[in-house]
Parts: sequence; C-alpha cells; structure tokens
Amino acid sequence: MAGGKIDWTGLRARTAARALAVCTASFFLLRFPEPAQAGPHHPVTYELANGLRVVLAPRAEDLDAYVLVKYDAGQIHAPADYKGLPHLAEHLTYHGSRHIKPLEYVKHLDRVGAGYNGMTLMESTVYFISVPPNALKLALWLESDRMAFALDGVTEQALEAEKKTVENEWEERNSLHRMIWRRKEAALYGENGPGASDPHEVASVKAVTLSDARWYIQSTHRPDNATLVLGGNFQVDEARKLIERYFGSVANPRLPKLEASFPPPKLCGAHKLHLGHVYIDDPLVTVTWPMRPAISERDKRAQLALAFILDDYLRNLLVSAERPVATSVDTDVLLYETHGLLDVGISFHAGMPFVSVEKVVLKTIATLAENKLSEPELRRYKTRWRLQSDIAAGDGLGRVLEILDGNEPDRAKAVVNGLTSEDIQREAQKIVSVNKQLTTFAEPLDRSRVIVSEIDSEDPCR
Amino acid sequence: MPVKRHASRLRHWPAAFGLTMLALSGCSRPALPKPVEPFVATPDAKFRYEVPEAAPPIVELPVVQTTRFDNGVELWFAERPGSAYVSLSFASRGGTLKACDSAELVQLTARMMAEGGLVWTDERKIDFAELRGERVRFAANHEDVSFGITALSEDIDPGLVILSRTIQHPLLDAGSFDRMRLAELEAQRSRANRQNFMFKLAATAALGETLGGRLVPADFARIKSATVADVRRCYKELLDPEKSVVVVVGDVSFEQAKDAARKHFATWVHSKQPATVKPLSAPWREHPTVSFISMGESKQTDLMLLQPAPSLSVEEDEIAFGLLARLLAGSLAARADVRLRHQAAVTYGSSFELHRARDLGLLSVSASVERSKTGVATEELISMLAELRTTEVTPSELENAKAQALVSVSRSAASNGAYANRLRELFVEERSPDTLEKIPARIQAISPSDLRRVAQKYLRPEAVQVAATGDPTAEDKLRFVGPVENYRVQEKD
Repeated sequence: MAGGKIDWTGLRARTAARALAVCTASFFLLRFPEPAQAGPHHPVTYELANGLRVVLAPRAEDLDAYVLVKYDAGQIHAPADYKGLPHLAEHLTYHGSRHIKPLEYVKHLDRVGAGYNGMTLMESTVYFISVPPNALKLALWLESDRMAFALDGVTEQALEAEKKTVENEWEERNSLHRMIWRRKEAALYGENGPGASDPHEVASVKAVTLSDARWYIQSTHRPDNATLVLGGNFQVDEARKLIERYFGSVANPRLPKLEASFPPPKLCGAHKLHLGHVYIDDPLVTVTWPMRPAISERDKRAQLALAFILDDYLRNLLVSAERPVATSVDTDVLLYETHGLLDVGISFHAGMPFVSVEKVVLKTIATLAENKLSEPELRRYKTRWRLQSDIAAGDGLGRVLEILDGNEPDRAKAVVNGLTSEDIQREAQKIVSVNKQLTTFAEPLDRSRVIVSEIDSEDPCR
Repeated sequence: MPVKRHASRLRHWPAAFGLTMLALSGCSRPALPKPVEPFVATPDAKFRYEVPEAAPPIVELPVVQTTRFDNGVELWFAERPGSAYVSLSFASRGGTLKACDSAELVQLTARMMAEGGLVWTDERKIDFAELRGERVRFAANHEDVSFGITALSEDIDPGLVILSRTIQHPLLDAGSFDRMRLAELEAQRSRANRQNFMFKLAATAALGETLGGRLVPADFARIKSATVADVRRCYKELLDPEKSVVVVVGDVSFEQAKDAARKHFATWVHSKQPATVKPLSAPWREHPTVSFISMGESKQTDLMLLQPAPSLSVEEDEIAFGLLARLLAGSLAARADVRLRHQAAVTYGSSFELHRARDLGLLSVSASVERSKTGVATEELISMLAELRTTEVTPSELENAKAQALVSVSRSAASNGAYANRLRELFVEERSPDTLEKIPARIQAISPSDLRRVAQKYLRPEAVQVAATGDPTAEDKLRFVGPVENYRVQEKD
C-alpha cells in the first residue's frame, strides 16, 4: 500500500486514515483560471388580460421547443376526504376536450414525435410538451384546449376509465421507496396531511362523482391560476401572437379559485420512525430536517449548497472511506412556499447500529454549523456547481422546469458565485438551532410480509 | 437472513386500509360544491377546430470527423459550439457477452480500472483523480467497455490525461481489490431488480443458461471467487487499441481534440490476451414457457414477453423492426396502450426494449396489469404479435412510429453526453460515422409491407417466452401460455 499525504495536486494518494473534513484542493482549480461567465439570457415575463402569466425563455441551441403549463393547484388543494381528486383531475384533462376527441391528444403529439407528461405535485399540477420547433402551434392549441374546454371531455365514461387508470398507476408505482416516503410524510405532516395518502387516495378516487371532478377542474384549471412557460427553440414574436390567439380569449369561471397553504411539518423535537419491509436489502437511515422558507435567492442557493456539501462530507466519511460502512448517500432538498425539507438517506451494511449512523449524520451537520467552510472548499463547491450547471443547461426541458420554479439559470450563477462560507454556515446553524428532525430507520423484515410495517416510533409531540 | 421481531407495536397497513374503507363507506364525506354552468365560459371559435399543421421533424446532427492513430486507436469528434463543456469517452470492443471468463469478471475489471486506483504520470499510485469534482465513470456493456469524464472545454487536456491513465495504467493491485469486490457485489445486488430478473429468466428460457447468464450478470459467487490475477488477465483480454475509440463531443476544435488525443492515446501499447470465449448464439426455444416469480400478495402482475429481433449484423431489418416495436408499445397511442390502457383499463401503460448485439437480438414488451386480468392481458399481447405477422399496419400508425423514430435520432444529439454515447455505439457496432445522417432517409423509405416482412421473419408468438412477477394466484392465469416454472425471490447472498 502506497503511503503519502493528500497533496495540492488534487489527486488523493492512499493514506491510512481519513480526516473528517474534505481537504482536497483541486490541482485544476489552482492551475486553470475560473471559467468565463456566460452572457445574460433572461426570460421575459408578462400577463394576459385574463390573468394568465406568461414566461418566454428562448434558447436557440435547443433542439426542441417546450410548452409547460403550471396550475397552482396540487395535492394540498385536495378537499378533506378527497385526497385522490387532484391526480384524477390531471388524468381526466388528458381524456379529451371540446375540439380534441379521446386519445387524439396523444395521437397528435405522436405524429410529430413529441414528448409529453403531466405531474401532480404538492402545490401545483404541471403539464409539459416538448416538440420539434415547427410543431409549437400544435402544442399551444392542445394546451389551450385543455385550459378552456377540458370540461367538455369530462363524462361518466371518461371518469370511470380514468379512475381505473389512476388505480393501476398507484399499484404499479407502489414501490418500496414510495412506501417509505409516504410513511415519513405521515410522520412529518400527520396522518391526514397532504402527502400521506396511499390507501386513502385510492379509496377517495373511487368515490369521486362527475360533479366533484367538474367542480375541481373548473376551480383550478383556469388562466388566472396558471403560468405558461415557453422554452427552447422558438421565435419570440411568433410565439407572442400564437399565445394571444389561443390563450387570450380563455375565460375564467365565475367561481373562486381554490386556495390552500402547505403547513410546515409538525415536529416537536427529535422524532424517530422505525420501519421494516421485506424488500429492503440494506438497512437505511434517513434524517429529515425542516427548513424555513428561503426569503431570497441567496438563501435558497445557500440551502442547496449546504445540502450539496453535507452530501459530499457524508460520502467521504461513509462510502469512499478506506473501510466503507455505507453503500450510498442520497440527499434531497424539497422547497415549498411555506417551508423546505432537507433529507439525507444512507444505505449501510448490516451489522452497523442504526444509531451510530444517525450520530454521524447529526455530528456532520453540527460540524458545518460550528465551522465555516475553508476558502478552497468553497471554491471547489462553486466550480463543481458551475460544471453541473453547464451540463444541466444542455437539458432543455430541465432548464425550463427550473424556470417554472422561479430559478433563472443565469441569475443563479451570479448568486452562487457570490455565496460566502458564512451563508452556508448560517443555514446549517438555522437547522441545528431549531433542533427538530425526523430520523427514519428502515430494515429488512421476514419475507412473509410484503408491507411496510411500523415497528416503533417516538413522537415528542405526544 | 435474521428475523427481527419487535414488541407489540407492530402495525399493519392492511388493517388500517380496511378500517379506512369501512369509514369511508359508512360515514358521509362532506359534499363538494357544484360546478358553475355553463361549464365552459370561453367563447368558441372556428380556428379552434383546425388542427395546426406540423411538418415531420427535421433531423440536424453535428458533423462527425474522425482520424486514426498509428496504434489503431480512432478518434471520433463532433463540435458543438456554445455548450461550455466537453464530453470525453473511451470504448473498446469486447464486453460482457464474450470477453473474459464471465460477464461478472468483465464488470469487476472495469470497476477496478475506474475506481481501484491508477499510476499517475509521476509514477505515484493514487486512489483516483478528480477534475473539478468529476471522476471517471464506467460501463461494462454487452459489446464493449467504456469510460468517460465530463470537463469544461478548457480542461480537455487534463480530462484526457485522467482518462488515458485510467485505461492504460490502472493499478489492479491487491490493495483495493476487496473494496472493489464489495462495491461490485453491492452493484450486482442493486441490479438484481424485478425487471432484470424477469429478463434473465425469459432470456434463459429462450436461449439457454449460458446466454442468459451473460445477458444479465448476477452470479455473486463468481465475484466472490475472483482474484486479482483473474482481473489482470481480463484486463489484458478486454482492451485492444485496434478496436478502441476516443470520442470527444463539445465546444472545442477538431485540431484541439486531435492534438490532445494523440498526446495521450497514440503511443499506447497494450499486450493483448487472446479472447477465451467464442461468439455466442443459440436457437430460439421451440415452444412457449412461463417463468413466474411469486412475490407475495400483490394487486398487479408485472409481465414481460420476449421475442427474437434482428441482431446488429442484420442492418437491413433494424429500422423496420424498430418501427414495429414502437408501433406496438412505444407510446400512449401505440397498440398495446390503446387496447390495454385506454380500452380495457387494465394497465397504466406498456413499454418495449430492444436488446441487440452482433449475434443476438431480443425484443421485450412489458406491462404491469391488474392481477385478475393477467391472463386476458397476456393473451391480448400475444395476439398483437400475431396480428403484426398477418396484417399490414395502418398508414397513420406507421407515420406516428416514423415521427417518433426521427425525433429519437434528432435527440441523440440533445447533449454532448448523449451524442458521445451514440457515436460510441456506432463505433462498437462497426458502423461508419455518417450512419446517423442516413437514418432519416431510411426511416422515410419504410412501408407497411416492410414491417410485415420483418414481423414474419422474427416474431414467434407461438414460441413466446413470458416472465411474470406477482401474486401466486396470477400464476394459474398464465398456464394457457405453456409450462410454468415457479421461482421465489432470491434470498440475500
């Protein structure tokens, strides 16, 4: 085994022990200048008379044009005991409309080789289409018909068909990961919270009536509750005209919009959830912290930077170590209007006590709260972020989805460049000082069981 | 596997679900408001009845330039200005299907090269090299092993340094061997998912154990028993400069790419070991079978139907067969989705995959269906295969499939990485660099009779191999297909 120090060339020589902090300084950072800033490319935003917000974000290098419509109605807008209604509504709006017969929506798009999908999220429902540039008009026609005339396609037959499809979708996607996440959501938000649906969702979908579905779609799929984003390869002037033509005359219904707010997790301290499942191969520990909502772009970028660096630290400690104890580290950040969630998951080798892994995670974030990142670490993060951002910029649809979420890639670059070690430390301190988290332990169970079983839990709120 | 029993607070979802159903059926839910009439407030207009015209997709691809160095290594290059970064990759023909003693050993060897340490330019032994946080990625594919790294455009030279040292000077020593072996075992476990297991069973039933094992490596014992000597031997067999390519796609010039690649790859000498495995081929099983994996209570059955397909060496059939597969299960408007999702409502959707190598071609069609409809859905899928042999497809179906295929060609250049990967595939398949440019015309030239011809040549619905996963009660519903072999989920190794 070769000995040797970790030297400035950024190539990690083999050492007998690893320090807690990541301390490689990349050779290539020191020898090569920082990459040049890309030129500005800001989206244009305006609003139609009917309240529809429009964002135009052209990018000539993209192969496709992208049309996205976001309705500010998602899982949290489901009325009590109607948990499955938002998702069912999303399906129903694909079933046809006044000018588009059932199945014709997908046939029109297949004819031009388009990609398309819809997503029911916590706070919104998003429909997107990616088309060759010469099919932009087709995409706008389709989405405007959904917004204006979907109710003409919502019939008893459509309702029954889509109820079955939603149930099939739920059954097919009832993966282990999803089951564990749903149990965590119940622990975070309560059994009747927006995300903790599972059997509730399927049961509530079965009971939805035609009137219910029509009311929900009418209340939510309307221009004053929507944002239309065009991205990718298209001509701005032509797009403006098409948008006015197809969306300008879409009227709002004479009933109020659905308003809802997503309350933050109900955590009183250190909560624990102990689950078992037959499909789990390696034990898993996840730690979920609530975060305050970001009040500025800088806050948001600091939160994301914290997650990135925490992930990096944990990988170096647990996965890339001389004697690895974990097989993977997965870090997610979920940002909502009223709060955020930072979630770290570690799959590790059987034999390690759960609490030991949990301790490493908690100690690591405490370290980040107590100590500022060094300048080389901060520079390293920024350079890595820049490379990832440039790679992501090549994904046209991904870029447009970011814009839909209010993330302008070029503005983000400037903000990330301006981040300081104090910004990141402050975010870690906010989390640590609140001292609330949910730790989930998941372990393999006897193969005669195929469901997620809650083995134990600790709830300081009780 | 140890069984842990915990004290009395074990809770079960079925009980909660049952109570919920009881509650929902017994109690009245709050009524929702009524929609406002008229339902639609927007005034209609004549233009809304007009379907906007859209011409077929136009395919524009970056031009590919190539050169060959004296040692046989080729450089394939495509410039993509404005992309700010460059995708660098290396591939050598010879992958899991044929090289070394086993597919598992090929995978372990590739991992050791990429992650087990290397000898740097100053002869130091290092664990890995990192370029602005990026490390070398690797893949052991059916017909090649490949390695890649993404770099900013101005970092093309250091990127190729790292890549070349990984290929030409991997450590392959005992120091990291156990760690790499453990990592490969973990990777095997994560690949041992339902879909892969079903594919392995169906392929084994169709073509025999040897090919099934090569197609889906899952032999933990083989990895556990491997030695460093095995890996070194495999490394020698796996790589051949005469069959290797460096692919560079991004915002650099051809001259820059050529100079950097020449500096780091043109003098590479590799003492190659002759291959120990002969090319594989096997006749398709004459009668249908079902491999059923019992997973415990489940409301859905995962189905996979396996059929022969053209191999890479039969170029004249590949376009038509690809269109056939799309038409069958390539989108929400494809035949399988129309019948099983939209009309029968027994599935959320279907999909297909083409698995192709020089001597082998397979088509898998998959869907997750309601348990009670397992038999009906399977019968419907088999009858669709038969129909494709006997009846020509409609012009509109073919037009849709063509549009999707054209866009797929176009999207192969959606990013530097995607295009680099597509060029790598062309090289491994021994196609010329301008193959992609010619594909659109070949697609447009396909007629319904071409599809019927390839359906008759390859599809064997009477000898379909079915793999299914689900509730034990679904097994009986598949007996009409043929003999059923039952499997249980593998225990942890």
